[in-house]
Amino acid sequence: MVTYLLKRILLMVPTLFGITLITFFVIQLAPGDPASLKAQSGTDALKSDQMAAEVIEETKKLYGLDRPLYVQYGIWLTRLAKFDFGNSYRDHRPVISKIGDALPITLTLNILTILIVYLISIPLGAYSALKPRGAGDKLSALMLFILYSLPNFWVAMMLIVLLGGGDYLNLFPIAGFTSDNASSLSLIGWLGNVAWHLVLPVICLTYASLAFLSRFSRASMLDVIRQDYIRTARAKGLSERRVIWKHALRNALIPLVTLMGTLLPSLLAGSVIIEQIFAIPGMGRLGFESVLSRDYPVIMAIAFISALLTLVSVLVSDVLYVVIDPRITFKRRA
Amino acid sequence: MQEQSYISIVWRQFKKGRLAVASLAVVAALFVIAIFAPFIANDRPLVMRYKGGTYFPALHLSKDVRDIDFRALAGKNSDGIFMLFAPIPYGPNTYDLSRILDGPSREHLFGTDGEGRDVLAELIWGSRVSVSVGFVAVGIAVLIGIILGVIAGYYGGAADLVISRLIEVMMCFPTFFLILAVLAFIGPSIYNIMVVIGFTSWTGTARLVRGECLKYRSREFIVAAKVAGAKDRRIIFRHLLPNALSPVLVVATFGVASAILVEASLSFLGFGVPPTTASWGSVLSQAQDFMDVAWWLTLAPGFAIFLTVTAYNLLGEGLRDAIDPNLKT
Amino acid sequence: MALLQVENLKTHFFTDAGVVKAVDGVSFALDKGETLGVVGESGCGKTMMALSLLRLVPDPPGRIVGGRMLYQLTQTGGPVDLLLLNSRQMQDIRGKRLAMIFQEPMTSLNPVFTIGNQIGEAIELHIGGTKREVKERAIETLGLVGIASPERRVNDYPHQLSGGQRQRAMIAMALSCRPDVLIADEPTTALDVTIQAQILELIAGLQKKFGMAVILVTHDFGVIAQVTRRVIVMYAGRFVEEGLTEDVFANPLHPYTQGLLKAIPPLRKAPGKAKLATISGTVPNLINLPRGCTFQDRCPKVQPRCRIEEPQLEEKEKAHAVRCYFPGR
Repeated sequence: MVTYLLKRILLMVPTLFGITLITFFVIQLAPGDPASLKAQSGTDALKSDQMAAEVIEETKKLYGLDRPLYVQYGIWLTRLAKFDFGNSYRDHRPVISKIGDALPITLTLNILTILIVYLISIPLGAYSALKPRGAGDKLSALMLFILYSLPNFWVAMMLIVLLGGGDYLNLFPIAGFTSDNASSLSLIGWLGNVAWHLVLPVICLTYASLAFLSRFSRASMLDVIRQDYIRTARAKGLSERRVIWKHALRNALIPLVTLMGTLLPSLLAGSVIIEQIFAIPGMGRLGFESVLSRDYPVIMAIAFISALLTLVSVLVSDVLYVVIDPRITFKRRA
Repeated sequence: MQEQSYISIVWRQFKKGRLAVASLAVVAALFVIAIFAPFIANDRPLVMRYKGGTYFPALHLSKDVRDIDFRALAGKNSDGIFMLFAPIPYGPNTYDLSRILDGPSREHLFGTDGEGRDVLAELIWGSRVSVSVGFVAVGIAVLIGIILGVIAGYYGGAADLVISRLIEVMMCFPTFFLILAVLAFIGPSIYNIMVVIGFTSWTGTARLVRGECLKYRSREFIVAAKVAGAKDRRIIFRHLLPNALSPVLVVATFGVASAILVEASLSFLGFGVPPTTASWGSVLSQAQDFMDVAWWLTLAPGFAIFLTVTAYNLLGEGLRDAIDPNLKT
Repeated sequence: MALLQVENLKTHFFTDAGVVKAVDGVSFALDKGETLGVVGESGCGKTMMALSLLRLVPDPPGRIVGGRMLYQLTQTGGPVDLLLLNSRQMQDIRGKRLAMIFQEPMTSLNPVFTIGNQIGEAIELHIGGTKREVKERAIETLGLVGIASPERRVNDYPHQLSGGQRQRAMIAMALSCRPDVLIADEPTTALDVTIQAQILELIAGLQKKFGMAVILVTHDFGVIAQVTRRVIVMYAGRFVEEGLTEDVFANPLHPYTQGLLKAIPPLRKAPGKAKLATISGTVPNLINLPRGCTFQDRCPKVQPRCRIEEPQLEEKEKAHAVRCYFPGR
């Protein structure tokens, strides 16, 4: 197990190297003079010439933009290795501490989302695979397709109008991760408060992935129920329920597990817009605000850390894959 | 000849899917609307006779009619003046501050926004942004994807290693945030948006083309062509690519859907096309400010985005089923 | 009284191209402890007949559309028709009264559960007992089918076993609840020749030991000769010849049986020297069966009469029936 993990991590080094290269390449796109910076940002954050000049100056200093490329890259790498992303231009706090505040919130949101997506889509997909091409299957396919195509920011707005904010029903809070007085609550009260705040954002983050994964789960299940061992299980006299939910499901799950790693980047991307709409102080909102104010160190740090997170989640789903499929052992895979 | 029959087979298969055909109609209609937007929604008349001359102000504002307030003129009953307006006599930037946030009415089917603009006219002009971003961005992505995919799949070796790694790396980034980040550096404009979406969404095509090339590389007809002394370029363009093209078309169709969604999201965040250009996302974004007084403003732009994205997705699905009926699950 | 009496069983497949009559009115009786062989080419419906006995025909597209399957459930009471049982009652029959083993030991075991788990499941369901008792019985059964160190193998996953061992495990699974009837569908086809013999011996031995009846479905007359007492020859969904194995071998009456017997490679002859006879043509399209005898187009001695009306299965000699107007040499 340990050797397997080590090998997998070693295999990730080239990918990690590539990630640093891409982020480094993006930094190179930074505008070189205040005028062009001002010209391209239509927002208020950089209204004054002096501020724009400051941003340019600090960027040059931080990344050594006036030095040769390889030196710049060297500087960037050494900083990354120490997780030193510099200070935010906006409030001059260290970037890493800002991310430290925001990341747990985003992770809570996304892990919750992944859990819900899996918990709903697996049975849903399996269920519609039982009677393929039946009325229920066709209906659910169309519904899922519609869900998949609904823009999440629109859904978010509609949910806010209909279920929050007080125009129609005032069931859920529409902004923030907790209420203002949340710190005075007991632990359970606090958790309840967070959960209450997360209902709408999690719905918005969930449904598209849900649609995608249900289709996948259905296809996987359809593939499995054609297998000979399902017939064997029936021949033993097992009930149809047991055949499906034990013998078929366990096999259908295997390809679904590997998808988990690829789900995360799209969810993190979705967080940007959802956190912005619901004013949740997570990584997505931090990222978007930094983009608006051209807070380059924060932008770069978030891009890098999100990619890193994806790498980690790929590793986790690889390990899960070995756990769930007895044909593959840590030894054989490594 | 063989090509012809392949296309007709695919078309016959495709026609069997009712939803897919309907989606194709929606997509085609969207194209027509985008191309003819100036003739559908315009505050300038399509044709006018004025002081003895005939003008086409909607197409070209010649200097004789440049300073005319057409709408004011239409109200007066002057002799010798004839004006034919578009079906929707408002442009995307026709402000009418006397009619702010009007509900749907006969004059304004979808109502007016916070600055008195006709929402329908904005949506019609906004389709141009969606259609062009969808196509140019996906065009760039497909081009990059095909080139890298062919290099990796056909030549293999070190090139394959590097490109495969690059694909892996790109897939690690949350695409939407990466697009935002790059736009933060180079500044948002419709061209930058197209290019950045293109440069960040080629991985699917590249993986697909690489796979197809690997699949066909050792097939008899490729080997035979090689033995016969065909050049790499000929093998790639005559033999490999035609085989890989139909699945690429499917991926590209899905790609258009997501590119349109990304542009709408960017514009919604106020980070897309400049505010003077109407785009579905920006209309929706403005509507957000008036949700408490006029929430129905969000319906039409939201539905436009949704309908278009669904149509492209269903179209992609229909194409996939038509190209490979065996994959149908 | 026969243990299992099948009367006029019909299993049809409803496909887009038409109705496939995979099993078309077959009748037979199986005595307690008897070994019955069913032989025919692939596609003749023998596997579907076997699956029909357990009501495991894949539905859709297949369905048992007619007939009776009378089963002597108790010593004293009358027989029950398996086709009239509800699915709950049928589950009690499967694995407990009628057990089945399949052709592909590689794919017939679930890859994600241990052998012990899969055998234990049947025991737990039909016999019950504590976890330990179930496991012990599974180990005991594994030992019975000749798997070395069963107490260790019981925790293995299917992929850790060889092909022969897997088929033994399958047999163990089928026998774990001591069924009255074992249906073996091509149990040796996927195995090496040396292992084939071992598995057949094992089945024959276990049959004697437990006194169960065996229905052996195969395309291989050689296998039939080794173990069965009675044999049925199946063609295009129907029985064409039925009799004691020795009679059918010594005096095949149907031209199809004669052809099959000629196609067996003779023992002790250098391969290649003996010319192997084959039956020309293939099994006819089961959707559009010709009028008259189903074998007419492949029959060496076809007469005009064969093309008009189908012959009936009639007893021509003692306990030896054939569906042919011109039986014998």
